[in-house]
Amino acid sequence: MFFGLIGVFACVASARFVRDRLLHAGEYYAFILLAVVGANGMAAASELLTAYISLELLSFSLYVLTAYAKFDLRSNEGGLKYMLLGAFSSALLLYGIGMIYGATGSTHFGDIGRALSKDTGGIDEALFLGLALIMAGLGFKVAAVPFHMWTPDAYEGAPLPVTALISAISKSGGFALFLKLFAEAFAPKIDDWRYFIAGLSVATMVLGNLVAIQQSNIKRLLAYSSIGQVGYLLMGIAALSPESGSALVLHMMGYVVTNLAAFVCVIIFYNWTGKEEIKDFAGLRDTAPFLTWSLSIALFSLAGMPLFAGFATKFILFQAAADQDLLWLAGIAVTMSFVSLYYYLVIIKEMFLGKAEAAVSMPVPWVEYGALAVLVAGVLFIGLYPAPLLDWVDGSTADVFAGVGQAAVAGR
Amino acid sequence: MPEANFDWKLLAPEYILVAWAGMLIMLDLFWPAGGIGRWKRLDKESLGYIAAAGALIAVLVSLIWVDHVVSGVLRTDRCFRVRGLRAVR
Repeated sequence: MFFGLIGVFACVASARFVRDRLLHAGEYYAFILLAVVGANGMAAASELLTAYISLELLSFSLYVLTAYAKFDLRSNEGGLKYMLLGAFSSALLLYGIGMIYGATGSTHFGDIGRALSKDTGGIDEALFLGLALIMAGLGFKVAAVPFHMWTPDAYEGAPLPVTALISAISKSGGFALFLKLFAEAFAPKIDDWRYFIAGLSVATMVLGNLVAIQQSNIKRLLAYSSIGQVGYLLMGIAALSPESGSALVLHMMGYVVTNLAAFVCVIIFYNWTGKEEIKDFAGLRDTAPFLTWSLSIALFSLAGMPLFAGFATKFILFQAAADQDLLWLAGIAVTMSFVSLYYYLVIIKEMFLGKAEAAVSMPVPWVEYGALAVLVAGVLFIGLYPAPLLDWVDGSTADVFAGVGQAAVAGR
Repeated sequence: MPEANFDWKLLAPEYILVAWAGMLIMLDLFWPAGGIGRWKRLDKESLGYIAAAGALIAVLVSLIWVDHVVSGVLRTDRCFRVRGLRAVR
């Protein structure tokens, strides 16, 4: 359902963009819907090969969409890089699935978990290698450092609505699979992989946020910011517990709603001006106040400021990590959130204090503004009253932790 | 032979999405330039809203139909439970 909503917003945000800038609209929207099918499959899969096929359906749709601006060299370059590195990561993932199958005798998450629960000895080589390859493969898909190299180029080159789609659906689908796989299958060996994931989380949030500071293109900035967000999400895996699972899904939802709001703003701005540098946003408050306030709310939320979704979801996630003796990791995450505030404020400063080159009144795209209003309302709702969503998410993740995973985590 | 145990009924949203994707391609390819009767030329912007409507229908079907059987964000895994594919140890 959640991925379907991402598809709805991606299609609405694409409508004018595709009309003005792309060819073959039918196939474009068909690929968006197929990407939603792939993401649904990833979240629903309880078996490695089904998960793999769903992931490939999602990935192939996104490769094509990234390179969809046929006459734009950046789009072609981004699509090619994304496809080559994606194919490499798919091979790693598939090899890892093979190793896990060899070590445990099953591709079902539950059966793998049961096989690992019985194995009271240390982790064997095949299992360790399989686990490492699966982490690397999924790390590529969600853009965790050091497997993030495709992200800035794919984000910058892809048509803007596709960038929004990649940032939302690829990460949320990837983390839904990450959570199910590690909770149901690999939880019995949590002590063997926890600190590896925690290390990935630190590297991802530090590099993503520090490199974002240097960006002058808003798409690249949002790309590195999304890498930083992946670092926070990985905390939920490192601190694997029913609470951290719920916190991870909640943060993922808050992040997706917020990020889509930010991207819809950037898409509307790009449809007007054809520009995507941060300095081009100067003086936007005078020409498009609704857009300026909406983008400011989205950016404050991404930074984790109170009143907005980012604060509530990060607070719950960091608390869940601290409860699992990962207070140091939560501390680094809080520090990086402050760092991220800096580069978001640079954009807000340009919009409010910068001087526009020419004061031109922008036409109001009502449909996009409607979609933006819904997303901004979502950001505020999650920020001010996250309890109903958290209850709903708790109910869902309870099932994930109901089997072997819960026993292993509880018995630790 | 592995025995499949898909609960096809729960894949209704996915069927809708795939069928809608096919319909969009057909509309784009074969909709007459002069329109059909009262229906004018189908422009690229309209296709976007039609696609969004398809995704929204799939969301509603998920909420009403699938969640009626298995509720929650990550609970729909029953439809993907496949028996077989286990190694003989």
